Amino acid sequence: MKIVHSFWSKPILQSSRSKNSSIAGWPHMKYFLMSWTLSCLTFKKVYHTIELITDAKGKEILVDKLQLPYDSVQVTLDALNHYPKNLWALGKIHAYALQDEPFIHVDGDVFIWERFNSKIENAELIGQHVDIDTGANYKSSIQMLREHGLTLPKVIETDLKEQPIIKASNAGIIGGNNVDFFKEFADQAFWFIDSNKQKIDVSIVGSSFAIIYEQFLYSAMAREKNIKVQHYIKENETIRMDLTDFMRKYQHHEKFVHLFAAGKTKFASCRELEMQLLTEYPEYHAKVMKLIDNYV
Amino acid sequence: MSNTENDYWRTIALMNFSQKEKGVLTHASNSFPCLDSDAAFQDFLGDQQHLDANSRNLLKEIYRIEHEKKSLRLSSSEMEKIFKSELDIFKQRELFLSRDIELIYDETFVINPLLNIYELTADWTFDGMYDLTHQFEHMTQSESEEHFFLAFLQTGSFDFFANSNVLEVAINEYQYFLISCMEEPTTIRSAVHTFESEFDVTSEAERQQVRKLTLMILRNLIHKTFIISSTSS
Repeated sequence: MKIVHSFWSKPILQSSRSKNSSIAGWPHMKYFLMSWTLSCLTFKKVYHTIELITDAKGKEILVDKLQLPYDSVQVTLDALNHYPKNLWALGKIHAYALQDEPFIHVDGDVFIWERFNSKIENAELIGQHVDIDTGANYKSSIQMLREHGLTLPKVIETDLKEQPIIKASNAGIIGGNNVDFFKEFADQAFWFIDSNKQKIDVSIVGSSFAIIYEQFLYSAMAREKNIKVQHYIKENETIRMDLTDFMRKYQHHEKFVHLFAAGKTKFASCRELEMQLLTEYPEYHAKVMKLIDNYV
Repeated sequence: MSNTENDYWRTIALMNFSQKEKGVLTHASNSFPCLDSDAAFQDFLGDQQHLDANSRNLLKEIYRIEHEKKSLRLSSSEMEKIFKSELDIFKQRELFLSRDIELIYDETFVINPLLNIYELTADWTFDGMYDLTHQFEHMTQSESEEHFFLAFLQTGSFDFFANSNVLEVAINEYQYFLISCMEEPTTIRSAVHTFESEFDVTSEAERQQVRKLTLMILRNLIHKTFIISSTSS
């Protein structure tokens, strides 16, 4: 199974004022870089190969400066630079569409210490876990988009009518064997964005929008086509144990951590991330610190 | 946010609540004394005649704990020293947690000397991002019979949001008990025995359950570096 990372640098780097300011939810640039580094290295160790899809600046940071051991690098995401920075998840969707063989795309804040199980590796479509909307996330995001006058894709409108509660796959890991699905999904997502481009302004919160054009659209399309999405973390597991807790590395199975959402802002998570990198890959910790020292 | 508002955000929020200000509570501290001075805080408290004993005690408690947390903050050079020693602790931790805990039964652990634990009458670990009116109403309306434990660990890392190197973690009474077992260097075997003897176990199945829980808590405490190998202390 091919592992894919994607890094569209424009939305991230333009949002950060300096190396000492918060970036992409992280309290400091060093943790952002440490996260990408540990993610690449843990997947490389377990799966042996990992591909990077990025832009020129992303390649400069991750490959030329940090020298992360990607097996192949595609520099294609500069083509997205005309999109506003709050549409940060478009880089991921573009990367899904480029795939011609079964793949698992993993976010740069996901770490593993064992292979995914065979159910995941053999599934048509996969996701990390099911997000069940409380109303505060998906529903309120839909409301925000309607208030901005955006036209929602028909598949989303239909799904909203058919499902009493919005359920969507968290895309910390996403992929599968059905690569044609992802090409169609990317077409739909880009159509959604492009056809509403005039109505998308800075007041649209990027993360709130991303869960709609990425996670909800993906899940609604899979439901429409009657394709099962296999989730790695079962519903009861997300309740029982915090996915951002590095203690998961030391359990017997699902040795998997995703520092998503507020997980990045926690002091305990950042400290743990740094110590994981320092104890497992001290030479790469040194590279991150050197890059931070010289970062302008 | 000023340093005072950052360091004493819960004290200030509770002061605001106690003043019965209308609207959403803020962390603004303009109308309050310099909280770095214990005497100024006591003067402020003396002026608040309208407060009942419970509210006064809550204010005293959170002020004491935030003052304490601030006093545990270290200089950059002290943090550097800790960071180096933490690296050894984390390397050892990696070895311990990679093995089944039964295989480290005879390893000796001790409380991390940089850990400070406080027993409190309220749970102060709420999220400052939200309006705390409801929580404060609940806390001040009835005196709690419960006990809460808060751990402050001095670390070699810097919390850029809180502007501090002190890690704050709520712990439960089981964790507190097992940490207390490690005041002197103690083997995992001995801590397990002490903890299990606190329970009235009537069957083998119950005994197994308690054992499983004990070991899970101990692994977690090793992971948090609240207890460390006595060879690293």
